[in-house]
Amino acid sequence: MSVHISRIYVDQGITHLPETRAILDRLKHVPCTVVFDYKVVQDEVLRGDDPVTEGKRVLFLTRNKGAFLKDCPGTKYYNCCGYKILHIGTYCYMDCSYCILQTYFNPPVLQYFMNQEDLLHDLDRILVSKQGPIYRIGTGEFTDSLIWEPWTDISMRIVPYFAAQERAVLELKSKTVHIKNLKYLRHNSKTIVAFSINTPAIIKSEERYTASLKSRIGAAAMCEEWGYPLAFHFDPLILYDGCEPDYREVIRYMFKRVSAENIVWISLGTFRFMPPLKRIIQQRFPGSKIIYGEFIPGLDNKMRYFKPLRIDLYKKIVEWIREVAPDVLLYFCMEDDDVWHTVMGHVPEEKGGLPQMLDEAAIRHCRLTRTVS
Amino acid sequence: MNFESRTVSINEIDTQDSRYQLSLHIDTHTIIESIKAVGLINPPVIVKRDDDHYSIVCGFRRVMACKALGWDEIPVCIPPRRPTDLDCLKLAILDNRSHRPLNLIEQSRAIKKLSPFFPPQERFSKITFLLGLPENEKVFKKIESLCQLSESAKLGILENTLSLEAGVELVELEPEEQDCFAFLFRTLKFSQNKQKELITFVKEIAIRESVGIKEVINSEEIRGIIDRSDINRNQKAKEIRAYLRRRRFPSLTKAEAKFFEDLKSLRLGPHIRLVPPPYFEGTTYNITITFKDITELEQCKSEFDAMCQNPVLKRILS
Ligand code: SF4
Repeated sequence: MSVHISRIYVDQGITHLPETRAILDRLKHVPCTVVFDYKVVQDEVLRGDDPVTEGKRVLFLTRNKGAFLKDCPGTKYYNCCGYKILHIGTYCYMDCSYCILQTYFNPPVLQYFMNQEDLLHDLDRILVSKQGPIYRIGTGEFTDSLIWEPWTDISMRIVPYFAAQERAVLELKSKTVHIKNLKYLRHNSKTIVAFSINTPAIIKSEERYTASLKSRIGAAAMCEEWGYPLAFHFDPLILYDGCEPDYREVIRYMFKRVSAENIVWISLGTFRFMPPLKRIIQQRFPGSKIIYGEFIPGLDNKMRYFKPLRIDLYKKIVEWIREVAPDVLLYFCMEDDDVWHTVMGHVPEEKGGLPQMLDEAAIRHCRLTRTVS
Repeated sequence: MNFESRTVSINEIDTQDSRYQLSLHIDTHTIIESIKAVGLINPPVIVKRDDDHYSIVCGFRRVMACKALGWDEIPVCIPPRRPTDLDCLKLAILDNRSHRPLNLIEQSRAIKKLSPFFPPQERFSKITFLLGLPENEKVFKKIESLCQLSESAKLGILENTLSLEAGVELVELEPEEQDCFAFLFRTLKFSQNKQKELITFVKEIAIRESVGIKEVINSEEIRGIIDRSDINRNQKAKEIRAYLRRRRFPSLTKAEAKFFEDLKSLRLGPHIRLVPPPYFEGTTYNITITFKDITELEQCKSEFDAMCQNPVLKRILS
């Protein structure tokens, strides 16, 4: 894993923390520099021809000066899941052609936030009371949730934290199989281990340095054995010649290894991207064809497959999943009522809205307690 | 610089040596007529090489014209001390710029020739100043890249049938692929935006379908459109664009065609316009009603009512 990291920068304000020393110990073969200013790291990353790649090799241990809890950036027109993001770090050393993080930060840098006391404090603020709304909180929005496992104790801190309360679930979403640390943790079903899933063809061509499909599903099966609730994200679904039998096979294989009863939810989302990502993919992944589908500008300004094409693929995938797992909650990530109605036969509103549908699933699988505040 | 004026044998001048030549082609036609009429008013500048032959610094056309006229000797200007290559290039640029602005290809060639003489951090500012270019690094890079174009694509730039932006899009292609585009744009004049759009369509179709760019441009359909005698150049350009768009976006264009077919069967008059959501992504349709007076409005109303009863509208909106 550490082969990917060529240099570590440490914010001078966190050098004294024992956690910092622990990480540096685990990565002791990697050259390390203490810096006073993030700009030094930025400049270093920007110096090369390909800052997007460079940022994946440079690890910056620092403190998060902003909020640790953020709302998932949904849009008005498409149905949003109402998720909260737990901001443990940024970016990723894996390299997916479609990764939105390539355009998110300027430049993107692998940052890990060491002030976890503040992180827990932010969580306390919303979870300390036994009364209040249900929260679904995930770490896999600005980074992959499990890439940090080999170097840090992050899961050992947050999984038991969530285990000790009743109002929130933590979703760890990954394309890695770094699940070892999860084995002996007290999770109390409050941590959902989720895997992003795609066809072997897409994993091979578009998801550099990620774990294979078989390994991901194998890791999911292992987590299930350890009692964790699971989730899967078929996102981004990508249209290519022969994609349908491939996705069907993925679904078949998935349900051969894990049982539907332990799946909290499965999300579906076809590939969508902000227009500037196109250039980046052209430059960094010249062999990738994924941006040459029939994309049209969506109402959130992201490029999306022409709607009938999305609906077509969704219908099939939903049908194949329903055949084996009729009761698992399936939902779309950022789709409108039209798509919901055509594919699922109902719109989220009829079931109380998407956030409520997901809350119900979390309550059921993770034994949360709904309280009236 | 005080130049020495003298006459040299024309054979001592190496006309193949293009190290200071900025123009793509040396067209001697007009200058021959002028020299015939009034003689050589402005002698070319040349420098002596180590092999005792001369390189032309300024005045390629003049030397070639005199050669074509059969002159054995030619009056020239020679700098007193042997100038550096950079000085010669500067001289060539100044000489050219004193008659007229450099065209894009000359600018591009000049950037290429000057670049080795400046450290990377000074290259942009120094060359921009010498060539009188706007201080815009993006534009600078675009112009610079034109050097990599094929001869016919460069010609397209000079003839204005290929825009700078489109030229930049072609740079990464094989020379024969560039030639295909240059030919297409010379045959059918496309606006700057349409050129870029067309290049993108063709490139993306080639990638989507795993075929060559030449194969797309030389497809039967495009050749058929170019060969049609019943439509003019603009119509051909439109047809080609529509064909490429259909091939690039088959499902979307099919849906558009279906919508317009349905729209026709609604038989709306000129005062009612039904507009679908852009790309059929949203679900909101727009209706515009235009009228001058109450009579026209009433007429529109009955048309509107009829439209609402028409089952085709239901189909459109389903
Ligand atoms: S695994 Fe996720 S975060 Fe990492 S590169 Fe791929 S898409 Fe980006």
